Amino acid sequence: MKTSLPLRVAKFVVYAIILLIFVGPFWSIVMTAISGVSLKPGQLALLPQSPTFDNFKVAFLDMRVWRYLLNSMVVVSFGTIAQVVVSALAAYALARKKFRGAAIVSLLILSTLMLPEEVIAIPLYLVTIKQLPVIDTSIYNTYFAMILPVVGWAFSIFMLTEFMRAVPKELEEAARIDGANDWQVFGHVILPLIRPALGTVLIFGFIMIWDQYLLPLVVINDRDLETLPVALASLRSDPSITPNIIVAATLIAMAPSVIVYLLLQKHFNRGLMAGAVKG
Amino acid sequence: MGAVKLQNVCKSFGGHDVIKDVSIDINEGEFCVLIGPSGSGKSTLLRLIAGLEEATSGRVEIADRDVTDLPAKERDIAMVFQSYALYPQMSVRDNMSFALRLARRPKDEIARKIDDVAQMLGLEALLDRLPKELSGGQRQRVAMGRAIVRNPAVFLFDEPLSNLDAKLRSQVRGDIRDLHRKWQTTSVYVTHDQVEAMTMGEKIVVLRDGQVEQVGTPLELYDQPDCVFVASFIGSPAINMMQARVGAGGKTLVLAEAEVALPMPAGYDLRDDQDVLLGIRPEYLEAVTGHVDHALPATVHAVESTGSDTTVICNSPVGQVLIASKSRSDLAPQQKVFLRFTEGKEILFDKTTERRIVPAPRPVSSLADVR
Ligand SMILES: Nc1ncnc2c1ncn2[C@@H]1O[C@H](COP(=O)(O)OP(=O)(O)OP(=O)(O)O)[C@@H](O)[C@H]1O
Ligand SMILES: [Mg+2]
Repeated sequence: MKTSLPLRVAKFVVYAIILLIFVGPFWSIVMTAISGVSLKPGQLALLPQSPTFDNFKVAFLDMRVWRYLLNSMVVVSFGTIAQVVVSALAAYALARKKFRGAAIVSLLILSTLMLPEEVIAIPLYLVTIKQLPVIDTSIYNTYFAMILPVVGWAFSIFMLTEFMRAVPKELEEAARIDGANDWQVFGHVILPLIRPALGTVLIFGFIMIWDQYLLPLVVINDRDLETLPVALASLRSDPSITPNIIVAATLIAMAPSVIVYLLLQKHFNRGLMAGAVKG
Repeated sequence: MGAVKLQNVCKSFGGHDVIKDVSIDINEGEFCVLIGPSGSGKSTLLRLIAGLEEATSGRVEIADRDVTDLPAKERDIAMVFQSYALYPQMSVRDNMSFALRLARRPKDEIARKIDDVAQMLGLEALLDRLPKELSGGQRQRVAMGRAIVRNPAVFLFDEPLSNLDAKLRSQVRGDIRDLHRKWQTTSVYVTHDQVEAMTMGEKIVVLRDGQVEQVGTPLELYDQPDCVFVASFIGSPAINMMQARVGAGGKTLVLAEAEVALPMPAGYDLRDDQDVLLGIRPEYLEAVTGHVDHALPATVHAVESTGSDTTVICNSPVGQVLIASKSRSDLAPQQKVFLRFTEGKEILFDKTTERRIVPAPRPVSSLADVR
């Protein structure tokens, strides 16, 4: 079908505007990051002026972004793994086990999604700063304080619960007749069948933990333990640091999310498909 | 190998009674078919034997062992599901060996058993395929193979053939029968298809609303149904049921609407004017064109022939009547006919209880005559 010329022009204009809105900011971030000419706070470059990678070097080494990156990596890797393990186990119980108060447990988990994190910030601080019995210390100012609160995430629990509910019950029954116990049913039947969903939950969990800002701000009081989002914020408020460097640091902070997504993307897309046309 | 014994088993789901006081004895090596209409509790009963459901009350025994409180994996049973329930991510080989691997059997023993069973079922070429790469019939075979490899005390089947086409179904039906003949493993087989029940079962249990209506061999159920329900459920085309009344002196059965009196079959001693239901299998009726005594006048409605079997559907004053015969029919729709009853093949039921009225056995003298 042939579209008329005015319509095509209109389409072109609309697409161009959309492209500009989405790509524009990213473009100018990259341009600013590779500009050798220092900009004033609030300024961004549209074209590279005397391009250089020095900004990255300064950000990474002099501004100690490497340290914050490392902290973020530690928190995100342990956090994501723990989160997926806990979510999968919780989801299995919710999807397949009959127990008293299952509905209430579900509701409690769901309610954690309804509280804005600003509301729980102070209770969270109070909890982390408490002296724990056996180890005789608090987890305040440790990696634990940033990891434990994100381990239980209602979103991934519910997502996995739905996927597990979709696994035919008869498969589980067949496995039980074949002699499998709970763990074997879980490991040999349920997990392999929801692998696509695990990939999805992994990505969402990674991004969720990577983006945590308020949590480290509340439970960490040591520059050496700060994660990237917190550190970037304090860099930004330092007037002596030019936008070029902040922007370069931001790009470094974005990189892992993008890399993880690209690595898992195939898995991710296939997962969504497999869920749709279950054979 | 083992016998299965259910004693006063009840099962309710949240106050809704699904199995009501069922007691069944299945002997060692027997092939027992559970049959009944949809929702009668066949699957639930099978799952109670399997240990997938817990009985609300009563007792389940397998191989002389009380297994009422044992989980499925300790009952030494194997089950073939209607949907086959093959593990989608495992190859055929892994599907079949799953139970043995869980039981930590030695590798060479597992390999040997899989090879044996695969050969027996003609699955050798498929061992490395995934279930989704198999046809329905092949999946069904793998599901059977997975059960056979276990060499359990009891096989449980829940409508294993209902997803196959008619031709494959009759072939697999024969295969299952042959396997059972060879292995003699106690089997409980659920179906709602009475052809399957009749051709496969050594013992048939008819269920209705969670209760056992009758237990017997296929021919017992066919010839001596305990009640109207069993009579109507077993047999295809279905038995003809007509309202009748006992005539004066108990000598005749009067089909009032048709103004026909049939001679009372031998052995019945009924009081005058008693209302009964007269059941007659379609093959014991014959349509004749000329007038004969003691025959039911009717009009041919349609003639259906499968080539080997012919069913004539007639409208009569007592309702629609089916006639089955092995020979072809030259009757045409709208033709007037008379339906003749084969003597002694009538089955009588009490009108109110719908139970069969059992005729007195033939006099001893006639038995002596036969000898
Ligand atoms: N888990 C359950 N919870 C509640 N009711 C159930 C459950 N399982 C079965 N029922 C009920 O029990 C009754 C018998 O079900 P069952 O599946 O045993 O019937 P069936 O004879 O196998 O029927 P079909 O031929 O359709 O398979 C039905 O009324 C069904 O609704
Ligand atoms: Mg069923």
